[in-house]
Amino acid sequence: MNHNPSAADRQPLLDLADMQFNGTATAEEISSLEAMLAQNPAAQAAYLRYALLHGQLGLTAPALPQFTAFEMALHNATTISANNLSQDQTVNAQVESRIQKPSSRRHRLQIRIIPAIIIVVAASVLWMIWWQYENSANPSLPTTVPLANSKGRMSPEPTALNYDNRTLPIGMVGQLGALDSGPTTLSVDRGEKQFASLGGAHVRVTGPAMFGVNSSESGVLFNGSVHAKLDKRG
Amino acid sequence: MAADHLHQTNDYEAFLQLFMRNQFRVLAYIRSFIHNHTAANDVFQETCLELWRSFATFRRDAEFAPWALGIARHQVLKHWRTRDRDRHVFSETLMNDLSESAIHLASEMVSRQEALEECVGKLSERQRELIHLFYGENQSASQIAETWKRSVHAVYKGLKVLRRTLLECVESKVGNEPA
Repeated sequence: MNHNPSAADRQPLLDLADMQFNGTATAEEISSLEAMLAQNPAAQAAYLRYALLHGQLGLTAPALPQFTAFEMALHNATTISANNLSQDQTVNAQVESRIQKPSSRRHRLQIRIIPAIIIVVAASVLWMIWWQYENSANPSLPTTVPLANSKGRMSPEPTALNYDNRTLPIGMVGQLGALDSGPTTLSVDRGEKQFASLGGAHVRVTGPAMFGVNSSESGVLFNGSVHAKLDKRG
Repeated sequence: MAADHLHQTNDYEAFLQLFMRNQFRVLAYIRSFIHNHTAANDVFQETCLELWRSFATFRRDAEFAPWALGIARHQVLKHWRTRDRDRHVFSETLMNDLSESAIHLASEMVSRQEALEECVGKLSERQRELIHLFYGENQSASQIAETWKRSVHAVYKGLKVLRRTLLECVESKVGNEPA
């Protein structure tokens, strides 16, 4: 299909890159790939374009997860935060409203996928901005954002900004449900908070704690403690 | 006090606008170098925090994308350093070179993503399903093979054909020589 000689020359490089992307390359194969790339700007450029394609494939329409109620709620929080950062109560009401009406939300999911991922990925930053503003405006009144299926209340806290990311996370829990799609960061004020995921994980976070939700599949505990139990059905 | 809040609000809005416009590039950049989905998400999350923390140092007359990618680059390198004894990763010297060169791709990232979307639209249903399972659902090749009742080798071959087809298509759309 492609008769370009230079392209043919690069097939071994791309073959090795494929194995690297798939996670199947051996140490020797990585060394071979490195040898091809070292001191070779043209090979590096070809590799980077291929690696970028691999990176961008996860952002294409077929790859993106379904637009969930939780993400829609974050979209509302986004809009409200941008317009009026102090309307936390309205945000909470809209979050609850979206989460409690799954049947009506289907009619609202006719949104293009690309804006959807923008909203989801931006959520963590928006949340930080929102609660930092709230914290500076009302230092004695912590903001709260309810989560569906949670028995307690989880709220964003300013500790996230003080998190030292040079410190490795001390634990991970897996299989959060569709309602907990990340990435975003949640904090537990105090006591024990529990939530169950649709993926079958029962998670108990003991505050004060900060818990990062990276995706619907995993979360990272930044501080505090967490206990996670996978349901045998999950 | 009121002036401080106004200043902060302006900062938030400026950051939001710039971040939302450029986050795709940041995420794609990170995923280009960190192929494990979960690890890439971790690094992206840390990069978001770092971008916000460092926003005060951002010069408003500068371009946001190269600045943001520079911060993402540091986070990627930090991640790779934690694996420096792993022989399955590149040396730090090569990673430095590659991650630096990749920042220069920033200007092409949007056009490449758009071209990729168009090219993906031309794929077969089966290939789109493969993208969904491997890149969206983060399923392993063996999981996909089990679902499809095919060999793992066939899934890897499918991924290879998929990427090559898309690379050729994207390169033809953005006007570069095929890799």
